[in-house]
Amino acid sequence: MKPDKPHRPPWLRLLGLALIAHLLFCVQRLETKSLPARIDEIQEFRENGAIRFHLSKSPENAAVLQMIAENTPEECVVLFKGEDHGSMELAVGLLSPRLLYAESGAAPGVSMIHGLPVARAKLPNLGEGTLVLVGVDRETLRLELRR
Amino acid sequence: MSGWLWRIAFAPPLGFAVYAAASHVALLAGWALPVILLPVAFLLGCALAMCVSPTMPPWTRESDARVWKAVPWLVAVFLLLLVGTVTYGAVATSDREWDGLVSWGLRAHFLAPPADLSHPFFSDPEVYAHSVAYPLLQPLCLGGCQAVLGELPGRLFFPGLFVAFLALVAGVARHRGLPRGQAWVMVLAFGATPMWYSDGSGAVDSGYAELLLGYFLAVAAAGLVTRRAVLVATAAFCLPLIKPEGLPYVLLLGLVTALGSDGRRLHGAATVGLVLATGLWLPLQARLLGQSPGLMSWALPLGIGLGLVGLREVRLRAALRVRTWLLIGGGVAVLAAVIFVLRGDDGSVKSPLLGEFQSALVELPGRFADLPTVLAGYLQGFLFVRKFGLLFPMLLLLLCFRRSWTAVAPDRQAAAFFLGGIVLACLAIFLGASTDWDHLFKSRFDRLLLQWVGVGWLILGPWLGTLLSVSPSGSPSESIRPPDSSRP
Repeated sequence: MKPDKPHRPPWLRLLGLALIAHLLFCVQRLETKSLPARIDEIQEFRENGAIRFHLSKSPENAAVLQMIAENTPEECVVLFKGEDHGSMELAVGLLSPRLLYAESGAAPGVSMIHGLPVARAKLPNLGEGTLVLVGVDRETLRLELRR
Repeated sequence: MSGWLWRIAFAPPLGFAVYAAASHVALLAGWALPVILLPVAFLLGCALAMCVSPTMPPWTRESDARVWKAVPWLVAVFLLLLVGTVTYGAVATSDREWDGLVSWGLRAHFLAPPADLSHPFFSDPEVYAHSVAYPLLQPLCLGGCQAVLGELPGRLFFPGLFVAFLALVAGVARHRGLPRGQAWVMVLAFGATPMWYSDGSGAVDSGYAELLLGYFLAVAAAGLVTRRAVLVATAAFCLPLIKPEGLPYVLLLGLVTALGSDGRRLHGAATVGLVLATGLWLPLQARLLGQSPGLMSWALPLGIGLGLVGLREVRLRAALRVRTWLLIGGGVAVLAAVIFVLRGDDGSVKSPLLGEFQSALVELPGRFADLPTVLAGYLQGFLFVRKFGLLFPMLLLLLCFRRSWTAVAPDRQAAAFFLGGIVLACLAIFLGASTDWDHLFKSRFDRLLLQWVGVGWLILGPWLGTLLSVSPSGSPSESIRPPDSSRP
């Protein structure tokens, strides 16, 4: 005499099918999509650097931040003003460990804040002065000099 | 295998809790965090967990089917590939995602020991600091790891946490009596959730805090289904210290345990954890906002605790209908009290999530015009197979076809916790500050759902066993019920 087969309600069979589909889909997705995409992303990051990677859709902003990163020491204060949402949020992270300090709070001619030098640079057509990063709007950054 | 798996699964939450307590006390006291604080506190917590870890119940008989003998090996190979992928993603570069870079990673940098809150990043309002008043546990953990291991190797924190998450799911599955092969399948089904390893926000190596929050939500659910008060207390303590959503989630945990029928143990654990967490966090948050911690920063935690204890006592003593209404009223009163007390002098609310709720209540009538769009967005989120696989359709299947889908008492509490959390996630979208639905459903709702993926799989776990060994009723058989589920 055959032993009784266990009774599986239809919904439970459906659950089993869903589980198998879930496993198959997820396993193939790691191998075919996520792993290659991650490798590409990391390669792009390493080739372009953090600033150009994060601002790949906004090369003008990338150039502004790249200019600050290349011409100022890591331990310094960069003055900022204007729109502080959007691109400015990203600038804070990308320029770290530099501190972004509100231009309105910095006295004229100040050279040190919190024991850190205030970033200065020489810009083409503008001359030399204290750098001020300006958030024109949520998408646009530009540089000004404060003398 | 049984004992050590459970202990490994059980140890990290206590490690996190001890480190969270030590680091928050140090920051409150104005002490610089020593480099050795993270390893010492974490190991101390793990050792404590080893000591208080309850005896593992005996395992059920392994499945006889030969096919199941190979399953652990197959699953292990895939999990190695999975963990390897996210490990590579975590340590290969610094943050590649917006919030990871702008909020979590940046604060971790300035909190890396030796550091304290006197750094201008935290103390000078003229310094641009994104989300400076957000909870600090993840930045503290990441910064601590980076201080010990270096900047990029310190990001091993993320895959390490993911492994702890996998161990927790495995430990709970085995604790509940799932045979080894099925427990491994459950771990695979959870770990393979695409959003954990997709390239984007919320992934393990993205630097977002969804992983840590989801881990502690699962710790809370594990505490509910295994009746371990220490797990519930640990989760209730850590959740408010991770993200703003943590506080409403712990209030939900308090309500769920107040409604439960297991006496005062779990509810007391949740209440104590919540009181301690808010007692540490609210004064610290006030300081980060440039305010001096007022009396309310200290009194509110006690008020919340007393409110939750009061709810529980009402639940135990009053008649069913009266107590249901009292509970609902009490819950609303506690929430209203939290919102009221967290209001700033300018009328703004210090807690971002609660603040959003408050401002949105005024605009509520206008939002109902967008309800079809919002409902479609919810549906799309639950059915987003590329992010969650088939988890939510499977849970829906249980809900539709199995009225008593929470066949055992501990599951009912975990299920209530899960469903309440999903409702909160939906409300956070509908009542949020923004009405940019497209953006909200693309970049926020999925992360809110991701936080509950671990809890969802812990609920589904017992039903996986029924797929192979089913009782005539189609309920989880006795063999896979938690051995102590009937204990009051």
